[in-house]
Amino acid sequence: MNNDGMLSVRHLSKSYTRGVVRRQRVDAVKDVSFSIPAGTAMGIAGNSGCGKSTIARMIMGLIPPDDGAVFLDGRQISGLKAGEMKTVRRQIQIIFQHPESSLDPRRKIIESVLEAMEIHGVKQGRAQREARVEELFEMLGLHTRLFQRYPHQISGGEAQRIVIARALTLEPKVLILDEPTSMLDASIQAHILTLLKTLQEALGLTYLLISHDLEVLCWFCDRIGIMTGGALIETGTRTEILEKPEQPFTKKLVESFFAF
Amino acid sequence: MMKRQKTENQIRTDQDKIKIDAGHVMAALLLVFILLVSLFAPLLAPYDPYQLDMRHALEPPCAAHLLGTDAIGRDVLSRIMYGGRQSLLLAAAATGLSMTLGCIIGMIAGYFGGKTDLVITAVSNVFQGIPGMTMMIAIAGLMGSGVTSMLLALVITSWVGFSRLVRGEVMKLKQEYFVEGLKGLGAGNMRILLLHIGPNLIGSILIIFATRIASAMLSVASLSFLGLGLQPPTPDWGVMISDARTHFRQVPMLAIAPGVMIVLLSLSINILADALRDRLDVRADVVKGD
Repeated sequence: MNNDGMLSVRHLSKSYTRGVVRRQRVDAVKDVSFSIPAGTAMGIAGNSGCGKSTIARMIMGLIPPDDGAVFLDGRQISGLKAGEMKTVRRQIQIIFQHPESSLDPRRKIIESVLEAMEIHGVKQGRAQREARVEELFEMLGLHTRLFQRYPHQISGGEAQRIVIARALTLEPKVLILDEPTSMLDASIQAHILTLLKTLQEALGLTYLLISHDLEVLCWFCDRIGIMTGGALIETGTRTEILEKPEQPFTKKLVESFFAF
Repeated sequence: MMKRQKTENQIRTDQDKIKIDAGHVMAALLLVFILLVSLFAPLLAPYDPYQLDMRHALEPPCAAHLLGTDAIGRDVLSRIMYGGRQSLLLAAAATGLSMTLGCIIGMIAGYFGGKTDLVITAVSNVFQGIPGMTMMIAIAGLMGSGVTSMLLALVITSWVGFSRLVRGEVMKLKQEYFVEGLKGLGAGNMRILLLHIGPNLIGSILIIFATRIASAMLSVASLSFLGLGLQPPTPDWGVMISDARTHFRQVPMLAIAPGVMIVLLSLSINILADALRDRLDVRADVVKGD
C-alpha cells in the first residue's frame, strides 16, 4: 500500500475500553490501510458498528488514532498540531448522516454557510462571500430564499445540500461522505447522489463514501472496501466485489444485496 | 422525513401560540407593579422612610398612615415601597454574578471533560454538600455583616447550581453533529463555545436565573432578618420583619406587610419562571428531537 493517492490511510487502528468492573478492550478499527487516487470515489461497506465512521473521524482528526497514519496528497496529516490541522481542513471536509442536526439550530442558514469561509479567511468581505454562496446554491439547485431560514424550517434534502455547499465553500480536494443519504427519502437520496457525481466531474473531487447500502456504493464508487469487526477484509472494483467476492462475509453481503 | 419535519414544525407553531394563562398575566402584572413602585419609591412614598415621629409610634393603619407606623413612628407603607429596592438589587446582582461564574466553570468542565471536569466536579460536590444558609451565616460571621459579605455568601452558595446545569447541557450539546461539523470545518474551541454552544444554552440559563432570583431574594430577606445582611435603619423587608418581632402582637401589620410583599414577589417570579420553563423546555425538546 503506497501513499501516493489523494487520500491514503496506513495501518490505522483505534480501540476503546468498556465496562467499569471488568474492563474490556474493544477494537473499533484494526490495521486498516487503503489509498484513493485523485478524482475517484472509494466506498466502505459494512454493518453498523463495524468501525466505518470511526475511520472517517480519524481521517478528519476528530479523534486521534492509536496507531497508523493518514496522508493527504502525500503529506501526513495525522498527529498535526491544531494550527497546522486547520489549514488541512480546508482541503478535506466531511458530510455527516444527520443533515438537520449538522447545522446550528439557532443560526440562520446563510450565517452557518458563511462561517466556514470566515474561519479560513476565504474571500474578503461579506458581499464576496455571499456571492460565492449564491453560486454554490445555484449549482446545488438551492434557492437563495433559504438564506434567512433556520435549520428546522428546511427539509432534510435541502439541509444536506446546504451542508455540501458549506463544505464546498472551502474548495476541498476530498469529501468524506459518512452515510450522507441514509436519513433521506429514496427520491431525495438519488438526487443527492447524482448531484455529488456531477460535482465530482465538475470539480475533480475525491470521495470516500461510507454506507451500509451496497447498491449505492456499487453505483457511486470506483472501488469498494468491505469492513467487519473493525477490519477491512477485502477491497476491489465493483465487478470484483459483486462477481468474485473472496471473503465469506463479502459473499454473504453480496447475496443479501441480490436477495432483493 | 418530510412528514416528520412538518409535524415538528407544527408542534413548534402550536407552542408559539401557547395559551396565555391568567395566572401568568397576574404574576407578570404583580411583578411589574412591584418593580415600578420600588423604582419610583422616592416619588410615590408619602413619607421619608427614615423619618422618626415618636408621637405617632405603633399606630394601627389609618388615613394618614395606610399601613400604620413602626415602634419609632416611621411610616410602614413608605418603608415597604423602599424595601423592595435593596432586596431586588442584591438578589439580581448575586444571581447575575453566580450565573457568570457558574456558566464559565460549567462550560469549561462540560466541553473539555477529562481531568478538568473531574477536578471541577469534585469541587462542585464539596460546595453543594454545604448547607446554603449555614455557609452564608459562616461567611457573614467571618467577614462581618454587610452587603459585600452577603453578596459573597450568596455567590459562593449558588454558583454550583448554574455550573452543574451548564456542564450537563454542554456535554449534551458537544455530542451534536453540528458541533462535530464545526470542528471538521476547523472552528476553534473558543468559537464553538462562545458562538455556538453559548447561545444554545440561553434558554436553560434564563429559566434557572429566573428561579434562582426568587430564592436569592428570600436569602437576602432571611440574612437581613438574622441581622447578617442589610442593617437597620435601611428600609428592607427582611430588616422590617426583624424589627417587628418585639411589637408584632401589638401591631401585627408591622410583620404582615413586609411578609406579604416577600411572598408576593417571590411567588410572582416563581410563577413566571415556571411559565418560561414550560415554554422553552418543549421548544428545546422539539429542536433536539431528531
